[in-house]
Amino acid sequence: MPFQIILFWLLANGIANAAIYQQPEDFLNEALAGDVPKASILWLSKPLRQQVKKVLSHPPGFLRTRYWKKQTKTVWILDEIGKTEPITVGIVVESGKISVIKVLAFHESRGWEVKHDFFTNQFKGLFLNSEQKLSEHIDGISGATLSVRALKKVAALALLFHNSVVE
Amino acid sequence: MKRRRISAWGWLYRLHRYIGLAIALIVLMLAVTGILINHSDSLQLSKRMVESEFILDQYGIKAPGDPLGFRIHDLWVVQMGKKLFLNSVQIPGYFEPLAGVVATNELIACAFSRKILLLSRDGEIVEQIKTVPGYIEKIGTDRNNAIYLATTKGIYYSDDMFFSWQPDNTGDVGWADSKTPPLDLITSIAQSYRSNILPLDRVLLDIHSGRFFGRWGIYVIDAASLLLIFLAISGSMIWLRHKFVSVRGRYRKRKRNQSAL
Repeated sequence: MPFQIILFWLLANGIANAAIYQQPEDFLNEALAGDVPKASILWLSKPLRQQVKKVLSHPPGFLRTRYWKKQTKTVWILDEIGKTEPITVGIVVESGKISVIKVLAFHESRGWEVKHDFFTNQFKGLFLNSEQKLSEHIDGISGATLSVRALKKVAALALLFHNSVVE
Repeated sequence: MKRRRISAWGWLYRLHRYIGLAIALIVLMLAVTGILINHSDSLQLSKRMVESEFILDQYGIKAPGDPLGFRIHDLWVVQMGKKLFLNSVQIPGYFEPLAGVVATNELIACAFSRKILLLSRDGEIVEQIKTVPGYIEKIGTDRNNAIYLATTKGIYYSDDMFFSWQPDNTGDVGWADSKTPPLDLITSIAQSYRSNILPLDRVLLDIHSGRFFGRWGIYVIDAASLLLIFLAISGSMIWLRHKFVSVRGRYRKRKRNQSAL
């Protein structure tokens, strides 16, 4: 019986904490000043899959992803698991550097602090170095280690994808 | 016949021996589970799931009833709780309630309230489309294979593989309808559902603490721990007494030898 209560509490807590901060289409409109072009598709080739695996520390859970390109700017809406649930993040990359990163949906029970500007502002202007890692260190948030890690992975992934579509 | 009187030390010896024997099995269990828990990360115990029906029953883990099923040609897309299956293959991740499933040219489109999941016929996730017009209530197709969505903002269709959505209330749409999947498929999915919930490290922790054996299990482990403390003290006392006796014996022997000379 106590196990059923614990399971129920975990499920209930997970559902109760699910939060949508912005709809993807609203983020796109905001990022592209209302002039959203038709989406393009990026297929994950074998070499790209290898790079994605290195960035995420696990194989990608999809074969292709869509993105929106306008001049030197690309917009990505990507998911990464924090602990057990996906965190949906919108990222704008401009000339190989992150210009906007925003948590759009958060379903974990902990680590929601990553949605705040004081944290996401650290990503602005970062690019991928020769080791395919973020160019600067990102300060963590105590109690939100897994969410911070997920955001760092997603940011690096968007930069990797951006570089592969503009090359 | 005169009964031999047992000294306090004799009682301590006996207690030490019998308590040691009595809790030997529990100590063995604590030691084995403790070692495994210590190396939980390297053994990846949190990723290994328990499949034993007996243990899953002990935890009261049940597959949810009334699975939602959609038939796509010879395939079934079934949702059980937050998990999704293509036939009996589990799709990675947790999902909101399905709004419907339709077949596109080569792929299977599963609609949830805020996204469409595109699956290959092997159950691989091709893509997750998150830019949809409004909250999806239904998904369907017309005779030209255009995809229609009934959303909170109205009915929309896409004839370019979900790249753009146009409002349209005039289409002759066949909306996806849920059906009851075959019983053998439900049974196999329920088995798969149950055997992917409980990680092995959880069970080891519960065995180690005694919780696995119910309310009394905790008290048994508490009692065994107290007895272990007693064994540590009594063992030390017995060792010290032996040491003292042997030192005293050697001293007396040396003294006797000296006086004999």
